Amino acid sequence: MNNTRATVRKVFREVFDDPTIELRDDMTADHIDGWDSMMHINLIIALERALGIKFATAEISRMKEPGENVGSLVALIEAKVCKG
Amino acid sequence: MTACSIGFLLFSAVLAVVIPMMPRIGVRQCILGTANFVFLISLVPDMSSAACLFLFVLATYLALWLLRNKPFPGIVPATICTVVVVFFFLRRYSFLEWMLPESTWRRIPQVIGISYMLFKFIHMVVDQSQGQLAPFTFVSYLNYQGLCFTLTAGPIQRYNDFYQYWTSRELPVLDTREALISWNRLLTGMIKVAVFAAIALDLFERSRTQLLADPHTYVLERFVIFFYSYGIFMYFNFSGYTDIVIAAAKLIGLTLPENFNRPYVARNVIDYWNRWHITLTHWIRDYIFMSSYKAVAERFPNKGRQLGYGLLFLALLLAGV
Repeated sequence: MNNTRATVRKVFREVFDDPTIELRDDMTADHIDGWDSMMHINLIIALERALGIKFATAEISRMKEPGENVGSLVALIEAKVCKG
Repeated sequence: MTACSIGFLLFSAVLAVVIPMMPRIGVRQCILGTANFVFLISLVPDMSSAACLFLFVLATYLALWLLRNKPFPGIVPATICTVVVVFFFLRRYSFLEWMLPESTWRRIPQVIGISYMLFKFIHMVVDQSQGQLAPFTFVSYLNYQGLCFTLTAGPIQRYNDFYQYWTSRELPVLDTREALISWNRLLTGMIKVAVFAAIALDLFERSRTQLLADPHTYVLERFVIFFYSYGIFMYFNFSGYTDIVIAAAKLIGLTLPENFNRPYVARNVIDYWNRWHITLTHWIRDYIFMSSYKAVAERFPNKGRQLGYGLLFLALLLAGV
């Protein structure tokens, strides 16, 4: 699980080109500069490649809903990684 | 029966009393199904239109069934393209006039609510192909597509949310305060449509007539009224309609997604589209823009951003069509 979190953090840093990003569960797109719809998809693609998983359209859509944050994204990724 | 009518008010009142009283799912489903049918019949202009609508729903259901039970490579794009072509003909888009002789063109019946049915169908096809769709039957699909609250102008509810309500053993019980808030919203919606939207439309018509009658005389107030009154009409008419249907649905325990969030206080265009017809904006974002941008960015990672702006334009163009 810690490995997954470390990989997610690494991907965030690469995609947003900011080596200082530290992820917290309550973070949303408002907390990271440049996290718009296109960067959101770039992030999804990079996460899929780094972790060997695939996100469905409905899952990507849900990430944009109120109440969703980095914590729920990491939880979804961990569930997918565990499923294999 | 339009949403802003005494008929719909009585229709909502009957459903609000009867549906929450029914303890069994099957009975509730029968009542809601009958209500959807009655509402639809009140809107359909003739038999050919009704037959066309039924065939559209049946054909799209069969496509979904095929996708679930006997999928084959390319079924998703093939299904979506076929249904979109059929949709273009049924909507009688003028740019297709040159393809059909006048006699055939005239015979295409008017089909109620087909745009929203198309949006819902595409969402179901994509989600089913990605294993995200809740179980569906012909009856649940028919009622999802023909739901009286969302049939003519949204909001676009996702199937899984509808299914949760459709199969719910216990409906959420509204207390007196919540019920009064919903009735207040429903009646406020009717006032928005019947009074404010009507006044704004009247102002628009008058200013337009004046401008057309005397186009060379510059009167600032005429231009200001002409420019703003139609936007005001659109807002009161559409948000009023949305208030009516969301409140009516709430009275039977069904929560529909919000469609407006004070759009005219938006800070920029992107903010505006996240406040006006929110469910359509999100549908376009999810099923046109994000899907196409993801496919492009995966293949051309270095040019993703530039191509993304093109796709954003394409998504908005398609939304306009």
